[in-house]
Amino acid sequence: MFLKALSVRHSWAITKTLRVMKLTAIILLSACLAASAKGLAQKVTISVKDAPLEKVFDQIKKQTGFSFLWDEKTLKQARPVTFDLKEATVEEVMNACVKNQPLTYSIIQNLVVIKEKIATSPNEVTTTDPPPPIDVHGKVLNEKGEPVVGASVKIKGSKNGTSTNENGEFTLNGISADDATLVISGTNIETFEVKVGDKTDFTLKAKTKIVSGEEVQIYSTGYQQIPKERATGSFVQLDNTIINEQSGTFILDRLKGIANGVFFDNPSGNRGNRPATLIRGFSTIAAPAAPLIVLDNFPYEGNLNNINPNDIETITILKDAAATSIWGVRAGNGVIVITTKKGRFNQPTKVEFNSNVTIIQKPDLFYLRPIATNDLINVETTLFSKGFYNSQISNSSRPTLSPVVEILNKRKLGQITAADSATQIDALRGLDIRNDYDKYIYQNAVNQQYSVNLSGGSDKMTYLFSTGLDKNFDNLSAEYNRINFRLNNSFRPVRNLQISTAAYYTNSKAINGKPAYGSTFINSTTQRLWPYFRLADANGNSAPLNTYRQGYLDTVGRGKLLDWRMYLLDDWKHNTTTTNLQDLTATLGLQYKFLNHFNLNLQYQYERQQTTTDVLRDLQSFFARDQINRFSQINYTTGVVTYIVPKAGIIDKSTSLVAYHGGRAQINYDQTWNKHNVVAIVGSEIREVNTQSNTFRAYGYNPDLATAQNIDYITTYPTIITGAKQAIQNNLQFSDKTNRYVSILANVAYTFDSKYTISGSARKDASNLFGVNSNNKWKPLWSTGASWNISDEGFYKASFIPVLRLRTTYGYSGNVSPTLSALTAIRYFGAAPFTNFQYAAINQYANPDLHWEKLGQINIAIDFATKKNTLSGSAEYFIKKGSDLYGSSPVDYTAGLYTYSVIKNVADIKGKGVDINIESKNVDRVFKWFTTLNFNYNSSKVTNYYLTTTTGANFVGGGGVFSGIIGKPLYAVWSYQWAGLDSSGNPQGVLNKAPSTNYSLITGSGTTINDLTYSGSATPTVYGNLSNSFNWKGITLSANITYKFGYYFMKQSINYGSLFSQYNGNADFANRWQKPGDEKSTTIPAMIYPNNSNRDNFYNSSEILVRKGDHIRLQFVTLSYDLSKNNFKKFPFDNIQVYVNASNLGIIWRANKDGIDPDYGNTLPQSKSITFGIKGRL
Amino acid sequence: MRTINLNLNILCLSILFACFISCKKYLEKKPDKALAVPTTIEDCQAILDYNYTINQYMNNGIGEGSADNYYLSYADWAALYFQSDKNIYVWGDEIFFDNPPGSNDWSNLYSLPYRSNVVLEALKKIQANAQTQGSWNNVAGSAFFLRAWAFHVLAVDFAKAYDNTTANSDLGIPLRLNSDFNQVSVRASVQQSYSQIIADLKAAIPLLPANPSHVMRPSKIAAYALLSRVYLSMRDYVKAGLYADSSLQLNGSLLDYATLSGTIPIFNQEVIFHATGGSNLLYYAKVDSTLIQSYSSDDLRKSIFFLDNGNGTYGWKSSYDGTNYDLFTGIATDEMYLTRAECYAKQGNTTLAMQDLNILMQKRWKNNGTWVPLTATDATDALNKIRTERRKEFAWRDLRWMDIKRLNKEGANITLKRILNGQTYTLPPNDNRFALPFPAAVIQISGMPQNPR
Repeated sequence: MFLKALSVRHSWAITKTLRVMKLTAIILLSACLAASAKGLAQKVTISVKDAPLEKVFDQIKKQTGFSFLWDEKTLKQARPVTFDLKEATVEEVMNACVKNQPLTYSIIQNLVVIKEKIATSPNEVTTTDPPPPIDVHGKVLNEKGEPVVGASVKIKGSKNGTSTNENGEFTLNGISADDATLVISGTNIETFEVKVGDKTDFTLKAKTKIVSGEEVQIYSTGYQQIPKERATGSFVQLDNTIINEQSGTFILDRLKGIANGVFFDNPSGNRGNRPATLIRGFSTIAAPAAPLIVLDNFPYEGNLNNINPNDIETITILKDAAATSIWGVRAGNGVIVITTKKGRFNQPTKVEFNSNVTIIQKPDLFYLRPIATNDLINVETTLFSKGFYNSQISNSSRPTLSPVVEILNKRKLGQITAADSATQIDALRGLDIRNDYDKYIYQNAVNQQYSVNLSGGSDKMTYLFSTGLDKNFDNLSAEYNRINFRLNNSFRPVRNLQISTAAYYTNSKAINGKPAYGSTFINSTTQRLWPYFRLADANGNSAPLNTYRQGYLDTVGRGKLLDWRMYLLDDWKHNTTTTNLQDLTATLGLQYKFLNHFNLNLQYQYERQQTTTDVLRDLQSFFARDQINRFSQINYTTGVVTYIVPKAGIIDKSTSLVAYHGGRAQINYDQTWNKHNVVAIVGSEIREVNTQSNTFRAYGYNPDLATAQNIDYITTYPTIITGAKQAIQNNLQFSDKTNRYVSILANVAYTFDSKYTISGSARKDASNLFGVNSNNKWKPLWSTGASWNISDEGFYKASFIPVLRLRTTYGYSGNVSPTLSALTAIRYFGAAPFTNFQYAAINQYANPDLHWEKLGQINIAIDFATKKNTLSGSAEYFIKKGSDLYGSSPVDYTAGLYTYSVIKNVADIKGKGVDINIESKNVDRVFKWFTTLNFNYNSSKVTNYYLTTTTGANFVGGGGVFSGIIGKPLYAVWSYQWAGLDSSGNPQGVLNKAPSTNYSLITGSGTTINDLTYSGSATPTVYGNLSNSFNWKGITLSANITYKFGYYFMKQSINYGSLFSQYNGNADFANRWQKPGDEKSTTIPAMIYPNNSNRDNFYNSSEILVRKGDHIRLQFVTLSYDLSKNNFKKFPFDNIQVYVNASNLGIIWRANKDGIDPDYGNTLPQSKSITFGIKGRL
Repeated sequence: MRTINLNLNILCLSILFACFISCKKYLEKKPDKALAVPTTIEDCQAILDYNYTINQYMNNGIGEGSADNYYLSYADWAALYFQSDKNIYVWGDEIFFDNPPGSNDWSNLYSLPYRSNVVLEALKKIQANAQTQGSWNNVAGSAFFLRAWAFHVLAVDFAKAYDNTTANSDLGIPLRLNSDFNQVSVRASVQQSYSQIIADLKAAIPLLPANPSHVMRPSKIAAYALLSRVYLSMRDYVKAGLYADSSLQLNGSLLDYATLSGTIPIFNQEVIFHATGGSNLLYYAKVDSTLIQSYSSDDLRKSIFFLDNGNGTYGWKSSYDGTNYDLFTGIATDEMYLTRAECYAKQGNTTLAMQDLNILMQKRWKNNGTWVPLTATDATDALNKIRTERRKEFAWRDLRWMDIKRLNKEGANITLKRILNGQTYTLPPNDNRFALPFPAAVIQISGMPQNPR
């Protein structure tokens, strides 16, 4: 059949059929080969001298089991052979046999056929048909055996060509001459040629170009793999070596201070409304600002903390519009593409492991600056004498009073003597509760991490299995355990089809720890715990904390009630929050190559993350005792107590579920002919995220029996303290949300002569966002770019910079806030208290003028490398223009919206910046010293904003809130002008160019924007890191220094209102104005009573408290020692590394003189940690 | 073989485009099950049944806080956390600046017209049928009632007392009659303000059911009662009396305080429309000494409402809704009795006036044989006695501010005084400051004229 078909191959249609059939034949054949080759040894060791070929064949047959077929006539022409081969393949031996002989051979299965070589001469007329066209497959590998991706493979003298895929493989169909020659070239490899002959399968070793010396870098966008030399967009890639320089449980933590162009803002407590992570500055004001995180080609909807950092191969950050536009509307803030490790075809089994222990120091509570205990007691004494506490003392809800106030009150009532009062109070003066927290609450944290993975592959399949275990025990004894399993397989059942499957399972469990310093409040939620409170008694037992006044507790309930006091050191054991999380992500992918240059790629991902949280308050917990007591009905005549809330534990159970389906159909096209290369993708995507949650509470819960009791939630019962009637809370909540997205996308890149590339990308997204008019649902986004490899030009002679490339892109991305709506929307809540009617709140007000935000970005970049890569890097300049951004626009709250402002498309912003990355090999001999510098400059300012108010009070502060002043940064530090303290210690502002203490006017209508002092940006305009690594014979020392410059913050100081009412004082109190003349030496206002909150507001937002934020920080130091086969020949492992990493080593220089860490302000800085670990490969 | 190849091409094309065919439907899925665009009568009813934002804490009694039923010691005043609260006490210039929208009375009260307007706009698009007409009417009537309710509290607090000689020129309140927040607020005249309130209530009456499913929902009784209160504040004693009578015709039941043990039960039979508010000032309040001394020792209201501090001063003990911390700002039958009585007296009908007064007073007296019906020599005497009892009955009911304003219009000459740390603040009758200041933030955006201080 084969031959018959061959003879009539002039018909096109039949040829096509033939190809398909041939394909089938090859698939079948290769399947057979794979099956049969197993029994045969492949390697031959043979040494012959002037031996006849028959003898050689005999030896090969003995060693390998191969059979030989020849005719005597042919073999008679042959000469005896001489060679010495060790561990050679049959082909190699055969090549030696036929060298310079009029013979040739072919191997069919395990049969070697010897034929006479037909002399081809142009003069000779052949009578036979030309040889049949054949398909050639191959793989291009570099010296290390790693696939060369994106290399061009062409047939010499023809237009036919292709390029290698991510596995370095290529296929060329229908090559018609068996003397064809393949030309393999690429930016990073030396161009070389290979004769096709009658071979159809090639493994080609490419030599890495020494001149450039650049490693092949492939950027993954989540949709395609783009070789660096053809990329026009702005990418940053971090490989697992860099990711592993730091240790830690969670992946995002490891990006800090190493990723160019990525800025991590202050921790949440000290950031205001600013977004936590920013790629290239601000892109939005009021829409979601977090970058899109993509894990293995799909947006990751689970908790990013689920991912084990050891499973990650590379992280690619897409920064400009060309890079991100393919991701559509969610990509306006940049994209972080995480790619996990996978097995490779034809890779021997490899095992990797990593194990480490991290010890994290206790936090330094004395970094914080609360008011001194002695000062606070003096304040309380003063306030008491002025009757400040009278209303609390007589309050019928019996709020607890501070121990000092209780003593003063007893003295006032004559219950104790003045001397007793003084002694009791003096005993408290020397106490500082931070000592107790340090002693009883905090401890060093210990995190353990273990991970191992096993990977490998044959030519038909790859596999990877990994598992990881994390066991953390934090500073507050909270536990976190995480187990990861990952399975990743690829199959190539037939030549053009690849099926990949992946499953990732995470199970984590978190249990709460002790209450942190500053987290316990007295009387509802505002009063801080008194600094002279002792957490433990002399024996170390938890001291009781009164939540109602002691005298009242002694009498109420006549001993019939449960203990109504709180035991801080023990309560956490009885009030436990256990969070169990399970996440399963499963992916199925199918790649089918067709028509030479096309590749159909179908992918489906399912993710299910289930989180269950149990908050169990047992009978010993304060919460349960408080609920039980509050509703206890005591019959004082019989002494019988009726418990409305059962005398047992209370449990809150909640479950939340995230279910994600993502499907993608994509066609990739890749063709190279002559000097042209086109790579294109077109695809469509459909995604659904369903989030469900439910919460319920059970009273009378017995954890041992898992039983609860019935409760009446409708009736109101009198509470014991005030008699006011209340219903028991049922805590029922349900939620079910679904977000759906449909997208179509396309991306084309054309490269000419490996020098010029232009690219374009477009995408349209639609979603079911609520209430947005359907004609607004589809949003087209596009980008275009170009790159030019100048150094490949003939005229380029600058041999000292052998690599020079220019890139530029422009594109549009967008953003939309899912919380905004064009229609009024209501949210149902269930049954209303008292009436039991279904009730609903107005959740979104109609905002019909809303449309999507637009963000345009221009990127201009240059990549370079000097000889031997001594200095390499890139410099990028970008301009971002955001228009129609959502911003809050002040609204007359007479409209009834419960707000000062509504969100409208009101703002335009412009950002520009420079990202520079320089890698330097300062010394590169036996001793190596490499330096990496990341420098990022970025400034963003408001170019248009509709302000309806210019009152200064709306703009002052530390830059935690968007300010909207045209020409100024989005988040800036503005303050009131400061005119010093007056002779009575009152802070003075400026009104009508004169010092003033009219605080209501200063903080009100008397100050406009023009009267304020502008200091500068509240976020760093310059930031980056400098990392140095030294290596000598396997010993590596690396250190990373991060820096942030060009910004301001506002120091916290004394606020007398907070001090009086909330016990929230600042150590600055000690240096306050106390007597005339002090105004010359201090800027801290005098204490006055009654307090004036405007005076507090003025002082705390005044110029005098503004500080420069600039600082330099030693982020980490890592010392490691590598033992590898390179160093020790007999070493059984490929590589073993032992390492020590010290992180969060603190600030080494700061601009402010107050000892404040600008990243943390008045919150606790991250503690120093040290990690000991071992990792290896075998 | 070719078919397989073609099939694959067709397959990928169909996958590419299959979603677009069903795309529209796919994208119509509601993103959040709990969310809805109000399109049904039930949705509208649910908005008005959110009693926390309809009945509770909408009127936190800045009127009562400005009035004379209580005083604060200097120590308690100085200890107040919010400057706004301090200012309310001394009729200051700005009483909201540290009280953002969502927690100040202006914003809370104006959220009622907003909700009502959203409901009324949605109802316009809902066609009721025979089965649903009743529900439709109830929701529409409730929306009109609640809008009028809020406008009236606002008019009492933020505009001058109604005076038919100057009502057309006196500045009233902004009347928000649709849900468009872009619309600029404009001050209506006092006349326009009251006309709108009356129009809304008259629209509500035929729509509302006579009796509510719950007193947290408006009803015909409540609408009559509110109309009566509105006319009383306008000193239209004829209409005030008539509507009080209409209301009492539907519900005239009274609670006998002698049967109570402790506090007054919430939703008791006197309550016509339930509303409560909470004031920071109340927490620290001491009862005005003249007021406390005016109660007879056999008057149960004294022991139920007030707490003897043991030092000659009295504090607040229990509110009309049974809590110790809230003001009752709703309407109850006792108010209707006293209004009808006052209107009878004003019209010269001493007998009926005293009859109404005694029906109420009997239910406030100790059941110890000391009860003697009150008598009056003439209509003026009756009026004085009724007004005295009115003040005693409505301590912490947010009616005193309205009463001071209207009575001063009739020459009652009530001057308010606050003494703090030796400094005396005075508010003479009919002073400009009886119209409380609008929030400065609102004035700034809208450009409305501020009430003169």
